[in-house]
Amino acid sequence: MKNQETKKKDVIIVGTGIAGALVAKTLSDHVYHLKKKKMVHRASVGEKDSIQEIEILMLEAGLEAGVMLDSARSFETYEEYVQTFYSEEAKVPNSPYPNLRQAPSPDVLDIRQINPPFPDKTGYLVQYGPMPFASDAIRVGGGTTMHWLGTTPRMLPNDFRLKSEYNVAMDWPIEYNTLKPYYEMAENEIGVSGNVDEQEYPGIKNIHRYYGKGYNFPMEKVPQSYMDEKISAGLKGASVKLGNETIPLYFVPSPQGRNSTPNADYDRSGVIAAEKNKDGYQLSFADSNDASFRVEGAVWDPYQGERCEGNASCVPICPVQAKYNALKTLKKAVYKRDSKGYLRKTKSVEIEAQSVVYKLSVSKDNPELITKLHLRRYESEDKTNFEEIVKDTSDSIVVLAANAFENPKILLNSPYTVIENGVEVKRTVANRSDQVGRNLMDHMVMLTWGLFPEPIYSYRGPGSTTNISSFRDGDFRSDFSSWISPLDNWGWSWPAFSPGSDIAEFIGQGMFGKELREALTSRLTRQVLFHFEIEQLPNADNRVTISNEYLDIMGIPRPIVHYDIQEYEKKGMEQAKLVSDQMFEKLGIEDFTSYKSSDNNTFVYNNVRYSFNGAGHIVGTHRMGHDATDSVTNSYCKAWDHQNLYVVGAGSMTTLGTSNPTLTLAALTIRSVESMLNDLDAQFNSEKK
Amino acid sequence: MRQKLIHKKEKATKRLLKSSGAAEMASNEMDVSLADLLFNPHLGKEAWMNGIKAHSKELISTLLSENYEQEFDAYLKSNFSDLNKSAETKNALKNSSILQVDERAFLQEFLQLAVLIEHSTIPPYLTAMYSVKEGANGMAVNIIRSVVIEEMLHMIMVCNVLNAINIVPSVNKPQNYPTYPMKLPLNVDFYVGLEKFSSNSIATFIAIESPSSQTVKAPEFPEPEMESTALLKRKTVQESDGLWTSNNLNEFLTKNVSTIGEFYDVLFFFLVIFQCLEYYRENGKLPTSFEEINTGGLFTGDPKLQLGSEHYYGSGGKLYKVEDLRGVMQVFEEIKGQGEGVDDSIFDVDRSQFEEGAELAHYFRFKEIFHERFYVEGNYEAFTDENGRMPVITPPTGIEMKVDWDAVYPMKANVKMADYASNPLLYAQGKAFNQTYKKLLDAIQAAVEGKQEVLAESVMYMYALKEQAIELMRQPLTAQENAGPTFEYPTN
Repeated sequence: MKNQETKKKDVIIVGTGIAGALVAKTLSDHVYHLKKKKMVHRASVGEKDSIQEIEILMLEAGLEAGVMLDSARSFETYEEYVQTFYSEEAKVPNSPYPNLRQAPSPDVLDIRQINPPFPDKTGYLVQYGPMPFASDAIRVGGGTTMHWLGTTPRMLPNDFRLKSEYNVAMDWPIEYNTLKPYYEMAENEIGVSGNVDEQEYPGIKNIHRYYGKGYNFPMEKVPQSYMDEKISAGLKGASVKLGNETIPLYFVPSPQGRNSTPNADYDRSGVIAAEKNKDGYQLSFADSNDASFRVEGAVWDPYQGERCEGNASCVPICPVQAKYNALKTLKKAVYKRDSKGYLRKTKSVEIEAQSVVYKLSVSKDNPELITKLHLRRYESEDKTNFEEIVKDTSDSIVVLAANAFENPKILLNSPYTVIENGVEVKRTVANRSDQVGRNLMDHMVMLTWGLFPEPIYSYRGPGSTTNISSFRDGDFRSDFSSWISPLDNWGWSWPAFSPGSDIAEFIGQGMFGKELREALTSRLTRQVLFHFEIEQLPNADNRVTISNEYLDIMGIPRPIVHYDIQEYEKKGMEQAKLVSDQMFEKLGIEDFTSYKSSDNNTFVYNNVRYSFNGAGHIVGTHRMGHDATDSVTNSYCKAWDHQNLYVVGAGSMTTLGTSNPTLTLAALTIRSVESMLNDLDAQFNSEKK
Repeated sequence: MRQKLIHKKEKATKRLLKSSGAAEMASNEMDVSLADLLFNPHLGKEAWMNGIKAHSKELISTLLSENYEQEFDAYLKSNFSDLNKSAETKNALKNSSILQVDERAFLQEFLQLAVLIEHSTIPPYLTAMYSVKEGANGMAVNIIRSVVIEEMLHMIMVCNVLNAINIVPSVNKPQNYPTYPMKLPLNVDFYVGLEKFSSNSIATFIAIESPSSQTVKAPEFPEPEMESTALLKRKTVQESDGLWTSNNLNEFLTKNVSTIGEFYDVLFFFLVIFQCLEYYRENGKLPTSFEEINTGGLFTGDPKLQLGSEHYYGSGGKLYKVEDLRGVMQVFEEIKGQGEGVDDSIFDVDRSQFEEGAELAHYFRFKEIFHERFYVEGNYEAFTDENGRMPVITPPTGIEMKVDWDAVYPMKANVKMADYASNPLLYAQGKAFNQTYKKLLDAIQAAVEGKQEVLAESVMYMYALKEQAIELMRQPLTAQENAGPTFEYPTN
């Protein structure tokens, strides 16, 4: 074992995905002003001012190449991802990225039906089921934003108060309005394209009040596909029956983290600065005469990917980086502008890759203090020998930002004992509430597919440019799940592996030449896919645990997953299918949907079979809440049990809502930086005395 | 225009017009005053050329200073103040033949030549890029791609200058098509052609973007049978009696101008001169300050026709709108900077977006491919003289760039539609490619004529071109060589 003592680190961040990158970028944009004795934004520092940098260390489990951010090297690595994607047969979300034995990732190709009580151990996750958890993630520089689709709706106000509105699940410790300014910051950082005027949601009477008066997205909406236009036109003004209710269909252009034309009316500056007031630090957009949005292109070349070019491979990889990924934020953490405006690598943000963090230790005298962080650093992609490293964190803030599987895994692997009332009590870090690892959630994606009566030319443009928002909220939520329905532009590729399966089918029928071409044209141009992302409620039994029986090659526990779905969600899926049937009928879509008992995630409800997929929305394993008994962290993602530990990411979310979680986790993470600045302020000021 | 030229700034010599009896002027370049150059009816051709050379350099050097407007004022004053005072010279001015020159036609010819130069680089760069087999040489392809996008930007910016002086730009007519192999209409000894990606073609690209002395040997092409630049043959300008004719201009360019940067210096000089003459026509005297010639005069174009940054992206360069002389300066600064670097450094104009300011000018980016190495992280001490300068030919010594010169389709160089005459499939594919390329040019033409939104279509055509070019390059033409795109004007 080796104690690495280099320069003292003020903040140690585990993970370089969007959460870790946002913490690093936002913090490192601030410095300690020695004279003013407080944290100030870099941009406000005069040339003669004495300042002290916040020293930040980031730890990434993925390969070193994945966090090289200079133009030459980042291009080379990314190009390798792209070429790997092109050559892989199964173009699943993880396909472009290195599949590391030293830091394995959950992969959709590893999902199998489970025959309880025997767990399925095919992949990285040990799946006890009874339902397999159906989503993947990737442990690589930039995290899972490397293969996200990029859809960024905000949560709705009622999503934050399911208990008080519908008497289900639990209320968040914060309201939508609390999070609103941070949503704006997240939309700025991710670079969201969209049109506020065209957003329409149930229960939201005034969209401009919901978004904020005069608010615009940084970029104009990504053009909606021809298919979207045909479907919206076919259902214009239509309503569907849901139970006894009649619900109007809203087709809204999906806000997304994908570059389009900068919005001339966008009036926020690109500078997110903290101001210290009586309640502590508060982040907001700095005033600027030059408030406009600067499009972020590729990490290697800011002039590539300034607009979406319609490559249509957003998942798993955008070849030009027009789609946001966290490497863009990470680069802004590591490179700062000098006085001439040029980007220079800063010494105060370091990234150490190939470093798998697996455990934290607390002080014997003060269990509230995290004193050590344990990691194993492997030598190379090919070799599994590693160096055991312990970082002293007594004077540092530790931020776990390693995703909703890894965060609870590390916490559960960090035991300590305390004496309470003279009795020795065994604990794990941050887990007085016993909520660490619990409430694992995902959107259950039910797909329905068919042939449109005329060509709608699928397979063009980003994955999804329109969604049906009508079922995102309503009184039915006391009874069954709400959902959002994106229209998918990629034909039947997800449920049926089109177009390859269509070719195989027609050739199997003996077709060739002109007949085959015509059959393919007729089918592929008319393929429509509807997609229902069903909200899953938090359930204490849906959880991640660990055991010494299931270790990876580095001797680190693998996440064990227990997962199932409840009546509430099953009924939601039944209702969604009924809605789908009504829409198919109105549009004259020939239904090709088929759910089989051999599907990985399938169940029978009221004598009807339903199958679903994962949405990649891994949420809820270290939820925020009202106090130390009901949750792992407070609303600033700070562990209730420890003075120097934050746990950030989608795991922080109390409930799932119907929005894709990345934007919300980004907003929560940005907000958590305020609390970190308070902690750092106290620390820097005590050191300076 | 903040580019530091190697030539020292030479003090302007103040002189009135030489007596009308003087015969052929001395050939020493600085012996020709600006006044003589413009108004002396007895100036010989050689002296005229030397004068243009000297004065265009001097004008450019005045623009290097931070307060270039004052320098510019001083330049105009020193050359024109006395002329305005003397009654004799005033009279001489009135009868000067330069006032008979059709300025607009002259500038049209000159600026269209600029359009052609910018255009002529695009097909060779695209061809080299398309010839790389899918998945290979990612970095090299990316470098070429980024340069192509900037060359298109330059072409459009020159169109902005044309629009600013109220001339409809032309980019999609047969005479706008470069014919390969071609020689740039400058004093250069290499030919530009449609060649596959190779160290030879990259060497040519380096030569095209060359900032000064030509040191990388370019491949030799056989002398073309036809006139390479159609524009040079066209005579749109009414020949006047004086020296300010397009023939003389072309002769001047092919004798005295050896880089694209210098070409723009001379072009700028002509614009300034004609703008001064415009001022003279309106006010009966010559201008003595920058502000007097910044607006008005030639600048009668419709500002609505200008394309701006909102219409063009994907390039390090900014698309400047041109409404006055200052706008012209920005455009030329951008074009020169991206090609050869600014401040005499290897860096491009806008380097703020790249780490350590490392966005390189085209010349140096191509050298990176050629030498299979990046400049970044190299050590150049050994190449640097006591003034901190290193020769532009210094090879990069930074981190390695992987280049696989063999992962390339063996395309026949400068292939023509005529080569496909006996192969109907190739003929159809070659034609389809040329039609798509024409559509791309049509989109640019429509945009510079005011339908600016059409420019967005060019992205689509760029993708289509790539697909069509690769289809051609995959097919054998002879036992050794494959087909490729011809970039010819599509005919029926």
